[in-house]
Amino acid sequence: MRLQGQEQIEAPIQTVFTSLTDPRVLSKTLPGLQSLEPTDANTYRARLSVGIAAVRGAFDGMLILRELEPPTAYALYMTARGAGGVVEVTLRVHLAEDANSVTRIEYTGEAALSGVWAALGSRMASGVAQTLIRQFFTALRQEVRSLASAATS
Amino acid sequence: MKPVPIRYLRATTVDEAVTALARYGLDAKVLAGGQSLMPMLNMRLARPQVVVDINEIRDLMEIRYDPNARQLVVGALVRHQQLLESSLVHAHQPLLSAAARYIGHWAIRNRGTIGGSVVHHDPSAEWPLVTACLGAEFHVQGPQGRRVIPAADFFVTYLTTAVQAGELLTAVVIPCLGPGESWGFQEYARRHGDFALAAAAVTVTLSDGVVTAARIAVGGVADRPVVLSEVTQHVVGQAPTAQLEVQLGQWVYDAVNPLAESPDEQAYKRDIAAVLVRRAFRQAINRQPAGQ
Amino acid sequence: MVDASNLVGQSVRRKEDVRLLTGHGQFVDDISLPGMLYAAVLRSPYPHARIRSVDVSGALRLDGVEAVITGDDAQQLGKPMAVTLDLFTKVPTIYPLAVNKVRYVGEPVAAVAATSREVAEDAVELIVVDYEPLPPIVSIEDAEQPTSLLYEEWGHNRQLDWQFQVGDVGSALAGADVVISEDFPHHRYTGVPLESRVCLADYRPGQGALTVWMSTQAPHQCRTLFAQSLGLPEHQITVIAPDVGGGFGTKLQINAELIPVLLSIKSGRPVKWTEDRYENLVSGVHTRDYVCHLEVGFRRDGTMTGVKASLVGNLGCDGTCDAAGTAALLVAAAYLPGPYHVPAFGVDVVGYVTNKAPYGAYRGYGKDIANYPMERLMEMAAEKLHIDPLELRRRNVIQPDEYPYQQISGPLYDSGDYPAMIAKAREVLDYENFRRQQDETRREGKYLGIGFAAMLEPSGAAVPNGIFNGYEPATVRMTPEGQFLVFTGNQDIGQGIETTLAQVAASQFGVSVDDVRVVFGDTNAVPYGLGSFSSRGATYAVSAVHRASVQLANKLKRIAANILEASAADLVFTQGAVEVAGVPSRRLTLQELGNKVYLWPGPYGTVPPGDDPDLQATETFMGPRVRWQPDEQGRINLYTTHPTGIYAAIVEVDPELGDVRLRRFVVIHDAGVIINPLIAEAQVVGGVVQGMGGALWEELRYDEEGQFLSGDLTSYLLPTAPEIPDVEVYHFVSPSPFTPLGTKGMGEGGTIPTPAAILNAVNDALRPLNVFLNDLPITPQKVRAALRQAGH
Ligand SMILES: Cc1cc2nc3c(=O)[nH]c(=O)nc-3n(C[C@H](O)[C@H](O)[C@H](O)COP(=O)(O)OP(=O)(O)OC[C@H]3O[C@@H](n4cnc5c(N)ncnc54)[C@H](O)[C@@H]3O)c2cc1C
Repeated sequence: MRLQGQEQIEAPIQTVFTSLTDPRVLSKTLPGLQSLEPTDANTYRARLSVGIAAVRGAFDGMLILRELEPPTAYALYMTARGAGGVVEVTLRVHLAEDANSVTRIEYTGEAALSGVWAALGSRMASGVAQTLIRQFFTALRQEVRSLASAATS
Repeated sequence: MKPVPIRYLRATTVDEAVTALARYGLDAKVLAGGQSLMPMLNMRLARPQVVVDINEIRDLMEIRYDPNARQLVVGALVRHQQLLESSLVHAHQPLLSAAARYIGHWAIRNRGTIGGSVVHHDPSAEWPLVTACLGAEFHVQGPQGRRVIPAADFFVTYLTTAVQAGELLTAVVIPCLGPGESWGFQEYARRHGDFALAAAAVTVTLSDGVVTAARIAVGGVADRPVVLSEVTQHVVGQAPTAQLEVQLGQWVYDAVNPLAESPDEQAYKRDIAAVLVRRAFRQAINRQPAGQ
Repeated sequence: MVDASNLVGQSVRRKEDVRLLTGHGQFVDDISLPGMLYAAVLRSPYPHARIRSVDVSGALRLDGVEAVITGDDAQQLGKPMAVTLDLFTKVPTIYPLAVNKVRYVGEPVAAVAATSREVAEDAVELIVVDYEPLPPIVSIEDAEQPTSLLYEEWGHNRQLDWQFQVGDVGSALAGADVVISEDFPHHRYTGVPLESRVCLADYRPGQGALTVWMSTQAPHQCRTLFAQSLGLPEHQITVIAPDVGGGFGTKLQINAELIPVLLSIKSGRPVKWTEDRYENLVSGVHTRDYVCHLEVGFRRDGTMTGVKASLVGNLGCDGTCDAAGTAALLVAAAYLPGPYHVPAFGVDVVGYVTNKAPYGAYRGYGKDIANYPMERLMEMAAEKLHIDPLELRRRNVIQPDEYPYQQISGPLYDSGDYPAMIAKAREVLDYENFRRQQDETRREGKYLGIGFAAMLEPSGAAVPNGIFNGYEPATVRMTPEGQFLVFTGNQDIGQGIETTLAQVAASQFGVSVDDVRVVFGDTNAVPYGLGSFSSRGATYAVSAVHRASVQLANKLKRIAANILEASAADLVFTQGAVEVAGVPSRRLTLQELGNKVYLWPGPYGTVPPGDDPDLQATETFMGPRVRWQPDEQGRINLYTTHPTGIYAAIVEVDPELGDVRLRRFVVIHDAGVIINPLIAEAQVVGGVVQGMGGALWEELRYDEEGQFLSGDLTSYLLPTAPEIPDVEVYHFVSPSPFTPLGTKGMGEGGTIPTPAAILNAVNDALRPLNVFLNDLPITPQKVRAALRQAGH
């Protein structure tokens, strides 16, 4: 399943990049995240409980940030195991800032499903993935905003 | 294939249902016709703790015609087959009757509901396409009271709508066919009764041999039904010639950007979206009363 | 041919239908035993992975869970899975639950027995497996590279490797005027029975006895395989197959069925496993999935000079223990020459193991593989040679007076008349007229096409080294009250043997089919027979029942003659009685006869000297021309009978949508003497529909990573009634000289040629648009892609 999209955040690129790769921010913005424990540099153990549309499930997995090229690019690798199988997400993320200090984020990648999900759930999986990504960026935007206001106040 | 342990609640009024839904939030699911939910429960893709059965809520079972507003008020629990057979629907918005015919098989149509279909929101399904095309309104009741969601905001993405956890869809309000307005519906599926590979709904109003208004929507090519308003603008003001039809196909081809797993699939969806819209448009034109 | 009375050849209504259609059938899932537990299976989400550990503690703690088993238990409680069939193959050492590694998505890794299926499924979710993913082998190309190995100890991924040549193929092709050569790929698809696999196992530790109720086509072979796979003495095992809701070849092994058995052994309680549709699609046996490279040389007049083939199969994780499919490729190799005169022939066969589901049997079992490439190629050759495709076939087919015909590759064909069937096809299709109509409608933008395939259906296999052997006993018995029991090792799986075998027996005794009960599916009750596969019913079971009936009829006549003081030669059976021909007053009803022999007065005085009162007879039929001893050219012959046919499909293609509609489907069919036309026709039509499914809809899809994508019936598309035109069936009768009644087994004929006929028709329709499709299933997307490439 291909994942592809663009988002904008009204903040300078450095702030956005830092937020995207900061576990404290991630733990507040990843949808359904229940715990995020570092196990290695840029490697985390994650527990999620996700509920989108009719689909709900508890996941246990790993989140790895790599190929970090601050502040313009990084890659995200995530595996999550639930009762119906395993989801593996690989995303390349590119950031660019425009003249108005708005950061554009472009991501492309793949989500691979396995087991029962691959056979039965792929029709809904893309919907679930897109929705989760949207939720994440909505939360991130809010977080960046509140970080910014905290910094100015 | 057995569901996770689930508590089953049965509501007999909208208020009861909303109270239960509000109480359990994301952990509750409405059970309408069950034609989409039950398979997901059995495959354990859906894992709610509570199911709220709304099949005994009488208020949701009716189709009403409102002559003043010229619209059909369709209760969320109205079954697909009921819409297919209803003389009110046939008289005032025959596009619905035509689309209903393509939904699954008789047994599915007897159980499945319009509310379930639009809330489930499979982007290839008929009701999302037709309600989006016609600009329907969705009436929702939740712990904060009632609200009305226009079609343009209702369908969010695959299997996701603007209906929030805790809310119940109560009715879909659908504009009737206007004077001088005719319609076309085309769908292509692998087998009889399957979800569409793509489908097109079109309405056209002609006056003095010229298109004065139109609605064009395509299903099955994106994460929600696509209303092609820009294409519509090209069509309005033109005479419905064979040449226009060819152009229309091209406009649609250029306007849709199907989500697909492969370039072949993407090209295919483009191809057939264009063909189906063209054919639906022709159907609509052919349905115009003679002399137009 | 023997004189059978008039029941053979009649469309007797199926005896079993009243029971089945009124909901009174009894399938395994309808059976419950006191204290019974329900099984659920944890399956691998990975195509290829090492298992580091399996933690079942969470599952064991759940209320209602009585037993959990893993690969370790499979090793401790059982043995490696027994071999179903081994012909030139490598046989892996495997267990019903994965040991050390998983080999395909859906492979059983652990299983739970609990007080309900719900609890069992809850418990399965609590089992934690630690996997180390390995590179998946998905395609034949992946398997050719020995960088990743399914069975490390082999050092490669080849399970089957075999070559065969008769005559000098090289010169035959070199001397041809035209050589047509093409790769014909075929996708993976399979039989989808209404009833999935179901198995109820009851192990009684006290007696050391195991009773297994299961949905199978071959109860006796399953009993033996259980004994071998569990190390239990076979005489302590009973296998019972009650009503079976379809098999199509997919129920000819035990693999997952060992799981409830192991759970029953471990828990000491009966355990039922009811396979759900996902499990059936992901792990029930798969078939087809091959590429055949075919080269055929022709003279300018259209006659063949030689056939050279290379066949490569993608066998999934195994086709020898997990399932019994590997030999299908060998059957294909032996039958590639089909119904044609082939002066020189050579074939290479390779089967690779990959990380897909097990390779088993499905209606066709290689005869379809033999058919598809050749019948596709014939139409390509016809175009190239400017000879009509029916005419090209006519010039190459075996003539009626050449039978029995020794085919170059080994098989001995019994009978048939292809030229007459071709003529019939022309007539039924109004062929010349159709071609005219086709030209006219093309001008209107409507694309009609016609495609043909000749059909050859070897039926009644006798394959050495395994469970597909060829012999069949039957016992026919008369009760003291004058009714009959037929005991057969053949298995009813919906194909109607309760009626057809009753017709065969009833014909000998002058009774109605209602006076005959066919007993099957209980290894304690019936002789060791081989069940239902390879369309063997009308070859083997019918012949055995017929001979046993004749033998018993003769005995009854001798006894009746003694009682009636007549000569046995003067007696005839009629309307439930035996009487002196032409003297109706000198008769005994069969009830009187039975009563006299057994009860009033009893045997002394009624049974003549030299006979005994045991009113039953057993006969075992063996294929009279089966030859396992290779001849000087290394050829053997496995099949006894060979139905023949000419199939034609007419399709209409909508080039804008890529839609293919079946407009007409014509079958000219010859299966020798037909016992019951109603049933025979249903067999043809059912087979045709499965062939249509494979041609247009059904596909077991894997992605490049080896994930399985067709796990339910919204992604695995079975044809439904609105898609299927009336199948027009015309019967010819060329009796087989090799069976006592002239019958030929005929269950698979419909499936074999249908995909080739349909794709030929689609290519015929699109010929003016310069499109050539070579891929199955023919999806609208593929049709459009080909058209787009051709600029349409
Ligand atoms: C074999 C098969 C073929 C089918 N083919 C088609 C087809 O061709 N076209 C097509 O459109 N559909 C098809 N369907 C789906 C069918 O139309 C379903 O009926 C429909 O999608 C869901 O309606 P339902 O009433 O059955 O809802 P349910 O399955 O009961 O519910 C579906 C979802 O909607 C939610 N929901 C239901 N009602 C409400 C409400 N009033 N308020 C808030 N949430 C609600 C549920 O919680 C659930 O998440 C097919 C189904 C099957 C089994």
